[in-house]
Amino acid sequence: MFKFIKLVQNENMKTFRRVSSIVMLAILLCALGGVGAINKHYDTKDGKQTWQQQLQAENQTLEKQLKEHPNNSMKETLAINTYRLDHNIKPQDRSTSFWGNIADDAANGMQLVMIFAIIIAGGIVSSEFGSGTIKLLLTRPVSRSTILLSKYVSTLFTILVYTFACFIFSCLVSATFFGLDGLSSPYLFYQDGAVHEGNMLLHVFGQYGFQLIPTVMFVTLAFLISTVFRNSALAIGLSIFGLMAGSLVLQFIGRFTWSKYVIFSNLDLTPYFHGGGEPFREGMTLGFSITVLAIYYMVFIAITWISFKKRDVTA
Amino acid sequence: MTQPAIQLQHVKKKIGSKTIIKDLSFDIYPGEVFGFLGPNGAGKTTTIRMIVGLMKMSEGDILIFGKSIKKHYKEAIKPVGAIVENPELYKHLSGYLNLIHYARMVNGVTKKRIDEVVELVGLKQRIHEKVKTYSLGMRQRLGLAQALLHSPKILILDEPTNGLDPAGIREIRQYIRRLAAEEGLAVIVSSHLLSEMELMCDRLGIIQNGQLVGVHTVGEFVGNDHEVMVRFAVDPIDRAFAILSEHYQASPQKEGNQLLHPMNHEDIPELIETLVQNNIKIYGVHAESKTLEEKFLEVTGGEKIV
Repeated sequence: MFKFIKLVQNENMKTFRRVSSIVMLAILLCALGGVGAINKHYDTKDGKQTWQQQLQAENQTLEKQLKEHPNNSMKETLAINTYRLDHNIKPQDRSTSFWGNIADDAANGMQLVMIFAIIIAGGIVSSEFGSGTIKLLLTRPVSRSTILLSKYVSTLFTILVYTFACFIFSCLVSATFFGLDGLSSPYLFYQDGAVHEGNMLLHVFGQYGFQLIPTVMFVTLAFLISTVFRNSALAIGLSIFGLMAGSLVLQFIGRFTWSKYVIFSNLDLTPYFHGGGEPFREGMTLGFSITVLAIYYMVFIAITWISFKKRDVTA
Repeated sequence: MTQPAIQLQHVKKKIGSKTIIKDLSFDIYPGEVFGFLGPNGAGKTTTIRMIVGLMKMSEGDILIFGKSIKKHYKEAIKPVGAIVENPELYKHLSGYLNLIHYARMVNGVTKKRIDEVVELVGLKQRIHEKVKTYSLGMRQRLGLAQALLHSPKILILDEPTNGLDPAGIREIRQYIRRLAAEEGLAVIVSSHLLSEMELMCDRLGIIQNGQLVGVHTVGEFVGNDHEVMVRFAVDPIDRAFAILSEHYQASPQKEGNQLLHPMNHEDIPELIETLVQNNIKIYGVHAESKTLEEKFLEVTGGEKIV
């Protein structure tokens, strides 16, 4: 066990001593900062009204529309707005508020984190083959499976580092552009006909959690391709293509019943929780999606390990 | 009899329908430097890869101090230090971090041992610089350092002197010989530099088309011929020529002011005596044994690389 930690330490050293890994962190910071700055710039335009006035105006429109087309999500918004006005809680769901910006980054920043994690996962095995260092790595008293596991664990660790960096950068950018007032405001959500108060930090962590599911799946896919084909470009290219093309594929196959077994339709678990919209197909449940994901995951892992253990090293 | 360090037992390797290694068996003992010779494509590297477990053998087994590389890989590989082909190291890390990396993969390598090995291979000045700034020779040294880190009992070196300058080659050669003689290491060396192998190895295994053509000690391989070509630097050359023709009914070759004459090793003193008695001045006598290269080409039939 002690030795395994050292192996992971080795992999982390190889990853984070690369200039590209640090450049990716810098890009993340610039991107989050840039988005924050743009939001700040466009925010000043309707600065004359107070938030109470804005909400009241919004409620009037909502009430009018509700009379014509009754709609659940409008009803929820109306209830939450009213709750805010009654309890004097300034909205934190705009991207120009401290928490609003952080919640947005949980979605947008994580898209970048996903790409970066795929880049690292796509190279972590194949680069050893490319440079020939695999020969020295595998002629040690450590089994091949253990070496591969150390690489996989290190990849997951890298995801955590980048996700954590994304969160910290996001907090810094938010505090810089939008100030710290609202830091203690609660997260409001509508459930069973009433508005409830929740912890904002937990809500944000939850958002990150939902994003981590596709991240881990695509990273595992990149790791698989990297191991089986021993080619970084193919691993990174195919995985990022999957990441981007997922929603397109869903639109195309959405009409078939079997489409609910496709990995892309199960990656987003937010519909199963409050305020997340509808599931991809009727009848899909949280348990169903988790089962489908688990099966894909196990197949990915099995192919990766079997391929790495069995094949000759000719690099 | 001592236990062999490495035993190859009827090792075969098939890739697809092609048999690359055909029934290879030989033993290597502690304290000897075993040279692995063969033309390109003969199967040297494949054999070495099978010994260190990078490739799986189709049939047969390889035992390292009696432990099967097939069944007990982790145990079997422990006493082995190896460089397979070029020493490829992590270029974006410093030499020192590379060694730390490999030290973490085995038990019991201390910082002190790392410093010791660095000193030994003569990289102390540059060890904290990134490997990408190293010359080929320095990488070769670092490769040797990583193979020696865990004080192995068996050292496997593919082309260890490749890219080294003459001083470096000499140093490595002396070091390998010392490891074998003093610490009883079994060393397997493969090289295409035949003259180098002649100086470094105790025994030579010659492999061709995946088969072992022969295992010889270096002495019997190169120096054991009875008939040698002897080169005489003499004056006057014409009289010497006449004497040789007369006494031996042979016609020596003339080459400038030297005579070349094939003869038995033990007859050389007698011939010198005859020449001296006939007042011929002898400036030099040189018995030319066949070089390893000639011998190697003879054994392998000078076969072209397929």
